[in-house]
Amino acid sequence: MTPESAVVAVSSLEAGPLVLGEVDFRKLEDDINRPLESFPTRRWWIAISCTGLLAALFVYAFLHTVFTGIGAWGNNNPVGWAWDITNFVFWIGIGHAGTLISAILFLLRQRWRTAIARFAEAMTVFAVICALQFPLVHTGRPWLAYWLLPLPNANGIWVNFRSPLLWDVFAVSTYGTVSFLFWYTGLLPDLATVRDRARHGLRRTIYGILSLGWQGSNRAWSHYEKAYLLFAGLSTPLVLSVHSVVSFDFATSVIPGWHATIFPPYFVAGAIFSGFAMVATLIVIMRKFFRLEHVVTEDHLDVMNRIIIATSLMVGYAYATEVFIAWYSGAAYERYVFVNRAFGHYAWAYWTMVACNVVIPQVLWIRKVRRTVLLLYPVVILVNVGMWFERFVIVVTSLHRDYLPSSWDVFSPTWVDVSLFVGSIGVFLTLMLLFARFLPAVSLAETKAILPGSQPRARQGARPGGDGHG
Amino acid sequence: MAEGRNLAGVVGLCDDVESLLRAASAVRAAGYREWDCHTPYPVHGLDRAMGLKASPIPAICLAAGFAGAGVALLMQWWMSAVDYPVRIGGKPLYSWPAFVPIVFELFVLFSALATVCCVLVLCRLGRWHSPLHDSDVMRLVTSDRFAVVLRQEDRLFAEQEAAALLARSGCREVRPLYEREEDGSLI
Amino acid sequence: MSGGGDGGAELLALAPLRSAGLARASLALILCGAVLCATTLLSEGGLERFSFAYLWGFSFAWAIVLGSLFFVALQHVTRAVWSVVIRRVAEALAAPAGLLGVLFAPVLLLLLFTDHCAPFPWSNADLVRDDHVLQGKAPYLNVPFFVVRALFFFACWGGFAAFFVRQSLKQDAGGGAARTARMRRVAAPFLILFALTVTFASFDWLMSQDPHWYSTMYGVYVFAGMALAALAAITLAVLWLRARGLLGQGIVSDDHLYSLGGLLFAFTCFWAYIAFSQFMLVWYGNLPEETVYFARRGGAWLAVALLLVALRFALPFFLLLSRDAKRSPRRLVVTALIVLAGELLDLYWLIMPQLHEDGPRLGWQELGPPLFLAGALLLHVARFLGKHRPMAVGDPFLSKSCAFHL
Repeated sequence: MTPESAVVAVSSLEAGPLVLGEVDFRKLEDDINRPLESFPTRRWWIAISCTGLLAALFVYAFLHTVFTGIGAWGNNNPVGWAWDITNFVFWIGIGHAGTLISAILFLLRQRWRTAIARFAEAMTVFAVICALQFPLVHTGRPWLAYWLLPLPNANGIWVNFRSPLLWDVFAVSTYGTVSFLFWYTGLLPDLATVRDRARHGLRRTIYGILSLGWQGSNRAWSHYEKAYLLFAGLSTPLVLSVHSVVSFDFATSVIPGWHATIFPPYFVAGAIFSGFAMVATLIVIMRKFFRLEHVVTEDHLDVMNRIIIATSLMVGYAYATEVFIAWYSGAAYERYVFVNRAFGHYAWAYWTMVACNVVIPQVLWIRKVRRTVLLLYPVVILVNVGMWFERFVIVVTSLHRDYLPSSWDVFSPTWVDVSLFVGSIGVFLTLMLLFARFLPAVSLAETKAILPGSQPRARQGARPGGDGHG
Repeated sequence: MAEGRNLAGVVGLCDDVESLLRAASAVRAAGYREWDCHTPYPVHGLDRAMGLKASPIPAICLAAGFAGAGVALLMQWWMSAVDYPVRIGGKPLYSWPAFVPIVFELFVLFSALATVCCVLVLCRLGRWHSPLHDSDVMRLVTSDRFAVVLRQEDRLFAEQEAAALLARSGCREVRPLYEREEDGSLI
Repeated sequence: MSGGGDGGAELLALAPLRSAGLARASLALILCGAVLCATTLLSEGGLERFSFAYLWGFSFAWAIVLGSLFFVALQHVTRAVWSVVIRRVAEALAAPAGLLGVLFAPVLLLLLFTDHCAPFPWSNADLVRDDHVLQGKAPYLNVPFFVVRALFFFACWGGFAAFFVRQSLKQDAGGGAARTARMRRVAAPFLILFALTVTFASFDWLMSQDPHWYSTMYGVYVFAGMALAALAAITLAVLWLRARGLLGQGIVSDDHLYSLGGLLFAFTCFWAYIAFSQFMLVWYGNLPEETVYFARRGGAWLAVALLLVALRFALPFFLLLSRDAKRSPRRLVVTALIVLAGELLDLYWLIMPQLHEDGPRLGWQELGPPLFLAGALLLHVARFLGKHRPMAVGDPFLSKSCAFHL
């Protein structure tokens, strides 16, 4: 091999630039701030009208449930948990990619994450908000939800700490709080930039207050970077714990199909899988409409799709292990659950799940599919669908065949179930649209810091990047 | 100078990080204490050039985390085994495996809250006034310029010498920094 | 190619290990182990104790070799740059994958040529006759299928280890980029195969010793321990070679060590997470057919279980918690030794309660096979390092890796 061809080959192995084209700080700022500083386009108004309508449907269905009772849903005995918990787990899972991108990839020093981190973090916060609605409405009397907390009360009783549902209360509220704080901390420097770009006094005041008076002082940056690193370090185990705790809701029971020791890592992998699919689903639209293709590049889509394949395989591994161990266990109930899933009343849901989560994502092995929006889009949409069905299959198929054949029943959703789920998508998308309108969807400070020439070159005696990073 | 404006210090502006690092090292070598750099993003090596000490946040965060874990364990033990002992699901009253998840969650919650409080205090957030705003420098340093600010509170401060030091050590542009007198507005 | 000028010459000057000491020490271990094994086999009831101890020692060697192979493939699949300077060390530890197949022979011979192999009750026809659960599992748990599976696993691991090691060695002589591209292409499919084979190997060799018991997490649990053991072994080997000056001056920097230490820390937490989840779910579900496993490993074995928590989680966690600890060679050596001891203890805790239900026993009968197997492994690694350069000098990303900083 000649030296030239060797050089060419090596460069083809290397990752491309993180931001494409000739971009300086000013240009980058203008590009990212454009949606915030121009009057909303007609497309944005149309979009938010549609999602707002769906959000209104959610509110209506929520209120209907509260005034009518849980009987408005299709839940029955033995299927006491159905779409409500399915949607809860679905939304929590969506949120996990945000934390993964902002925290785990930060710790792994994956610099490509900057382009999508802010967006994904916002997604986390909004997904947790959506997720919380479902247990809230399932309590029947949401205004008494504070009973879930260990607060002193007149009856002198305490909550049951041995219940995984209570662990959920702690895990999800911690997760929501920490995700919000992480996101907001990351926003501070950018809010200051937006403040200083503002021409209108009111706009300047609002962003000024939100920025908490950030001045870009290096004495502040020094603490700030340490804090950011700590947030990443805390969020990483937190994200594992949250979905593990969600999986404990099922796995601590002795219901066949639920009581499996592999549930915690299996749920975490599934959450990351679905979350990345959702990030890809939304960011493809965002980069197109806000003209940010040079910031969120094809390389970014490529890496996200690689992670989608990896997590798809992990989920497939868990499916396979469960089926094998169900047979290997020799327990009649275990075996029945899996035969019933594959060939029973809900077989169509099971095979939808397998197809969407394990089979179809395999096309992402092809480089062209990973990098072409029109080809990858159907795949990530189907992953979203498949992951919803995964939770549905776990929840409903295990419940609808109880230990007592006399109580066997099937579940079918009512319009209220459907409205709550579809409406929650509306709530989520509305929040995302508002976010894209009012806050910088890509981190300005972080992206500036990875532009060529933004950091000092390595010098003799000084170890560059030694401070605050690691 | 104009009415209602007081001299707050001197600011030197740099166009690139290399000259910023040079200027910061020079100011540090000259022995200034009341000074700072302002940058649009964290610049590698600047902490070292400025001679900043390591942040105390990790230690505080860790301590808060262990405090949270301890609180969680005590709370669960006291509430489920002492104050309101009810046997549920055949589990012992003090069943540590069931307490671990909440112990962990409160570890994370406490340390995250402590970290945020540290950021608020140590980064001196919540102060909306700054001479940088009044002298029209802030909009540069949150965008694409780098500033070294020597404040007049420093015992070494003298306007001419400070300006000369900054000009000598690589700042492209050196200006006096003025502060408007309080006029009651928030920002 | 910053720093490639004089650094490049230094890299090319890196020479293989010249030390007869390591080879002599490993030969001594082999001899010592073989004598102990032979004495055990000749003693009363020795075959049973030997077979359990052999499985124990073998699992330990298996964990280190396969974990290192996983590490190598993971670096290729993630296109990691930082690890290029230490990848050859991992390759040296992964190279004995073929040897593992030979070392497994005693287990297969016992299964094939005696009426049953003691650690595997399902191989005892008398026992299966009265046990309808085991009869139900017979299509999977039977000697011929077990042997075929084992042969498949070893062929697979041996083949892929040979591929990665040979490509990397050939790269020393040239043709860098093309070989790197080929290894990256193979690494992803291999990792799929790795996950499946390690899972089923852990079911076969460890879980099936208690043939009634089952846990879907088991494969992940064994993998977590395996990754930890391999990381500890790699860390030790890197630090040992570096201290002898074989890895050049200052090429393996604090930041490389920090990355290794960080991985060790992360997998320590991962192991704790997996181990706790598995235990807690079984404890919580409280089904007799599942709790029996932990009941047997608590009780008289409780001290071992508690020591395991200390060695596997508490000590490494606190030793590596601070940022400086992850780049301190001394701290890393101490932690890596603790982690390796933890892996030995973990496997002991998984395997031995089947033999000694009334409490842990560790006599000279147990020490023969581990010493023999450790010696064999060490000899292979010493010979590998004596023949080849200790760093992948032909890797196109080596100079970038040398310049790696956090």
